[in-house]
Amino acid sequence: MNIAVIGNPNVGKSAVLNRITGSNWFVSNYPGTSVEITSSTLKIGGQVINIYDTPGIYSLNSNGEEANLAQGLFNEKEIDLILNIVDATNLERNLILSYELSEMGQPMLILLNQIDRARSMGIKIDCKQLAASLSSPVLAFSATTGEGLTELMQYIEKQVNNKGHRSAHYGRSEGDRIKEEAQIIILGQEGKCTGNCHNCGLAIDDCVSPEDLRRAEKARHVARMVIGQMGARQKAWLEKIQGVVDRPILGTIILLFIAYLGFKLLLNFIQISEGPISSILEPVNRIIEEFIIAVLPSGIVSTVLAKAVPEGLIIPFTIIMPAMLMVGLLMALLEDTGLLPRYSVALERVGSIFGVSGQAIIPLSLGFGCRTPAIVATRILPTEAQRFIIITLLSIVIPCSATLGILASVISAFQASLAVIVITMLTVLLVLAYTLSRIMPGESEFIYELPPLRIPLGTNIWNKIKIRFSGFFTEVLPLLLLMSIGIRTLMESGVLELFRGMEGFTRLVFGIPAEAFVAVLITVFQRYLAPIVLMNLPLNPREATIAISMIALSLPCLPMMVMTVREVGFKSLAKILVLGLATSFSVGILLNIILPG
Amino acid sequence: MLMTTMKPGHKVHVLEILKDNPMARRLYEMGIMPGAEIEMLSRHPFKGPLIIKVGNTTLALDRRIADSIVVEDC
Repeated sequence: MNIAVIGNPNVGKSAVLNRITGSNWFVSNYPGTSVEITSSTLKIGGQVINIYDTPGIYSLNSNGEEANLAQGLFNEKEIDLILNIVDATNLERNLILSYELSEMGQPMLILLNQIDRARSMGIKIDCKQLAASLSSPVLAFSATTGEGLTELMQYIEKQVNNKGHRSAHYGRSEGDRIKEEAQIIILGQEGKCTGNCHNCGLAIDDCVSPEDLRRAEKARHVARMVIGQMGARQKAWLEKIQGVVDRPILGTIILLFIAYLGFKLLLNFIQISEGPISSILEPVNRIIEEFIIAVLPSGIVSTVLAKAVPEGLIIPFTIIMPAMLMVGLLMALLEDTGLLPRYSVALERVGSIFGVSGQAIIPLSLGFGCRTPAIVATRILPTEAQRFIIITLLSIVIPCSATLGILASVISAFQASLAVIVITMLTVLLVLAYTLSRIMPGESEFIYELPPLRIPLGTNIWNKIKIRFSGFFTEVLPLLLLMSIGIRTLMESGVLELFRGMEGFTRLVFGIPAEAFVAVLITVFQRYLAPIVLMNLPLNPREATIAISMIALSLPCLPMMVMTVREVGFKSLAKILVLGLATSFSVGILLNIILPG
Repeated sequence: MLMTTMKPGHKVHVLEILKDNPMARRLYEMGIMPGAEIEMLSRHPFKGPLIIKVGNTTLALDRRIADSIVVEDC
């Protein structure tokens, strides 16, 4: 038996599914968390039930990937039951989709989710009347409290037992009448714009057909009919907080303060956890090193591995692991409380400078802490184009806390010009952001839901952290170990020495010695290793300024590359690497021309 | 009048969405269509987003979109 779960964005679909199956569905108080169809199986009475969770859609005829996915599901699978999750607090808008679904003529169960919240808002819904108008059963449900779960399971079980037979309708006669009406409306039109009415000059997918409007009218009518107010009520305290957070200026200040606390927490967490983790890791690393030396015959392989393996464990465990955990927690909290889209609103003006939505500021500022988890955080951005822009800016321009510290020390050691370096970095940031957002524009005009503030559920937060962290041991750690071995091999083999022959070229083009250029190239491996190479060179302030600027604006570090491939694919990483090299070299050449000798 | 001119606390009915608006479908899906009741909650400064209430949904809306929504007093 196949069940398709369909509903508007942010109606608590995934929370309902977690209730039913206890699985790891992402639950967000944020529209559009699941962008693909996820399936899960459930066993009831020896029967296997496949449950397909579709991304939230407002309409089956929406213009976008999500609606296509939902439609595709009906073409590919034989769906025995549509589970339409409806937000009880937003009946009027949700019913439009319900009517579209009911016109498909398949067995459907409507789950009036968040019924507890609706009640607390003074909304009373006449389920029987609603069921009659939709000619499908309606069940009051709450994923938060578990209300209606037993009835839902009983219903599914009943469906399994008489699979193939449509179950008894509630209020048959009334339902049939309305259904007939609906049939007349959609006959020959399939509820979609045909492009033949010539009432507007819009693309088919952008237009609102007369059928759409009729369905909306019906939804409004029925919603008014079945909803009764339970009298005046007190505003819940969460709503009062929401009222304050949604104020333009005060709200922005509060949101920025919360973000500041988050970053502070992240940095402190990394700092505090580093000590204990190192003290565990150090003896382990010593054992690994001794083990490798003892087991392998002495030679280059043994030397490389004995150094590379312990080195390769330090950064992932002391910095990336705690950062990924904490960023996972903070992101889950932002999403599940409903604060995240509010950042978008508050920072919209700032984001528009970069040609991205306001919430891009979150991963960008996370990057100042550690850029690797910041890449994961770009998931909150609405389009792939915006993700690419922000990951590129993170990779090339934004200095992480480790880089900042080391850059500062090199700048003072060589008396390099801080002003030139800072101005160069800011210029590159603006030029790069402006150019990228013109080449690959994101959404220019926006409209989105601000979900009500909620208290996040502990289990949901835990599930999210688990899912976001799951890649650490399977992908991040092994790849970093491999890369670490790669770097060591390069260093031990003396390949880097070959670059000495380039002295004339690097002096002419960038105004720096070949060794400094090698340092620039080392940034490929670890940006903060490069300055350590610089420290051993006799550089004058001008050379140091150019070399540091080139290093500060170059390639992402290894952990970032690994994460970039994981998140947006190898092609995007290749583009970023080319852009990074081009940026670094252009900066070197330009500074060499501009700066007085 | 246009939605852009609404003051916070102002409640209106949507009269029409100006023709050939590529966002028309999206607006419809969000509940903004002729006849819908809308309340302006707040306006962000520097031509920032408008926060409106449609039914029990709070929406953030680009001002450029609000320019194409004609409303009338309730």
